[in-house]
Amino acid sequence: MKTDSRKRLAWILYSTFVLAVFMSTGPGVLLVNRPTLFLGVPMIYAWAVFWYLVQSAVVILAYLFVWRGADTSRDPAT
Amino acid sequence: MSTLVLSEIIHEKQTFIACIVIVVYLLMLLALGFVGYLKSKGGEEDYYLAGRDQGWFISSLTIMATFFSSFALLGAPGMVYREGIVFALVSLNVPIAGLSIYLLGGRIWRLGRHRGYVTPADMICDYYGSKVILRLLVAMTGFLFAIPYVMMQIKAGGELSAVLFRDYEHAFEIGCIVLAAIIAVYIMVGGMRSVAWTDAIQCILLGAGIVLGGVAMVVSFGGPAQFSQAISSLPESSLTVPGNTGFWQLPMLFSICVLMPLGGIIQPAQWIRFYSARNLEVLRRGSVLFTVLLTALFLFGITFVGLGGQVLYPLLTAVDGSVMPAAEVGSFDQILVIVINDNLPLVLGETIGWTLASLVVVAIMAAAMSTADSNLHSLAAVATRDIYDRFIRPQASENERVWIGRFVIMAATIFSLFLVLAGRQEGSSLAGLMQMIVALALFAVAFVVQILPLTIDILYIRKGTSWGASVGLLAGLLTAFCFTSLFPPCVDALGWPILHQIQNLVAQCKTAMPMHAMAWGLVPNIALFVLVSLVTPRVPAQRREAFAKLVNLKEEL
Repeated sequence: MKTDSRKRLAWILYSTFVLAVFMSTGPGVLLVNRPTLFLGVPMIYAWAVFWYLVQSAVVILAYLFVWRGADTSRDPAT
Repeated sequence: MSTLVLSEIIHEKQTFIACIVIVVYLLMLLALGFVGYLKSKGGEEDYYLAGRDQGWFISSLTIMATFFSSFALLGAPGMVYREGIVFALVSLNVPIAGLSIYLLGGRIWRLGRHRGYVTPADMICDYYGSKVILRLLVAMTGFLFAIPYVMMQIKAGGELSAVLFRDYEHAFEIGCIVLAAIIAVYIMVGGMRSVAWTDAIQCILLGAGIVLGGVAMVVSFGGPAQFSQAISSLPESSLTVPGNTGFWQLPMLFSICVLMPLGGIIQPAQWIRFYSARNLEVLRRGSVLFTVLLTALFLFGITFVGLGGQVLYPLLTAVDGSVMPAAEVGSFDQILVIVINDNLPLVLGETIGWTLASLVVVAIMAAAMSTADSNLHSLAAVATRDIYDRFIRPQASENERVWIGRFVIMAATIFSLFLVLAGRQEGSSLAGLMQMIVALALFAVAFVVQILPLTIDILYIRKGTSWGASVGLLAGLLTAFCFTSLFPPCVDALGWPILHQIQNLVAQCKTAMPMHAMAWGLVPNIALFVLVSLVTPRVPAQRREAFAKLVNLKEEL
């Protein structure tokens, strides 16, 4: 992957991660802070699982397409 | 046969199985300590960094085990049991730590590899050119982190022992002493290699213990649907933020979730693990494993145990309105052990159930030991390299320094053990802090988080100065301390009017913005770091450029 594309992807991924932090443990919690169920589980729990999946996806994609190419003299992705 | 005699026989059998499993595990740890000693090549770099040659599997497991600690298997379920579902959100601090393994750890590795660093202060003082003040402050920060963290683990050993051997009067104390002794011996003998190998095994046990706990909980309810139905009938406060006691208000939740993982990752023990990695791929993979696997263990194991515990052992409300554990639970931190001991035999039959319950107990011990050994080991490195080598005997040989490190391990273990046992006494000023394992963890992290600004400056910004870093760090440590539960007893003991005024100011700040001490410490830390850096001499351009080049250096494939 070219350097510019990699940098752009890195910014998108890290911004998504920061958004996930604010939504999951920051002000975003106020959107879902009620004792109701979502798909049979408490709403807060479902919210936590959703943002966990988002953050995991960010880290996996960063590993595959950003970090290895940035660290090595020969980009293994190309 | 009477019911009383039968229950005594059952309890004796259970205790016997637990003893066998625990003894076998502890002997295995001592054996690994000895093997580590046989494989050692001598010298500091081998004793503290395993020759900078740790592969990705062992590195990943030791990083996870060091992060996890007894917090994961006792403190966290205890917090879920006390507060409810809000802790599922707290679990999301783990991905932040995972990402930091690469974003911070990767750069720390590069600098350590090329400049031969062993401790955090090696890097910090080399960059800022500070020979004395900053080195002492960073070393002190490491000490302030390590001791409470080690205390936490020793306490966990005592808590376990108190549940398993509840008929014995001094079970807690004996448990503490045995755990502390075993840890000290295998670290002193085997160094980093033994620490990493035992960490790897402990991490696997830890993960298995969490999975077993979560599965046992769901199965004991009759399946996921029944479990979910039971959970949904909990009181409103258990299913919402800020939780049953009101502790997890949004500013507190956010500040802890962001700062606690960062503090957990830049603690000296993890820093040393970054230096120890064979290459960057170790840390890249570690980052992914940590984020995906560890968070899942929290969300799908620990959370289930605590919530199920609330259903099975409903919380009580004290006369003053505070939340208390059920009578049969005793202390919040014991919920996992109680749940496992009571439910696994019912679900799986007595012998298999107790054996697996004993394995979970071993997993808890593993969690405690994996963190205690890492922190004691890193404390030895800090005390030897940053204090003894620099200020006491610079001419000391490597062999002498390694032996000093061993002495530090023994002394720190004994000191921590003393504080744990003293904290159990009536009227002890440590009693409040010792009540819950989570409280100790947060206390420890409040201090180590204060080196975050200068760490980020060195790795990414490079505009701070030595004076800025020193003043900021000192202000951060003092402020953080003022916001901890140990400050009021100090105020009472010293009785100085100015301390009372500070205490009042702290109370007002907490009311206005209920953040954790770690966040409050960062406020003056960052402010003074920036302001003082603006008016003091900068780090020489040559050094800044050298570091900038190194942190971005590419590996050759």
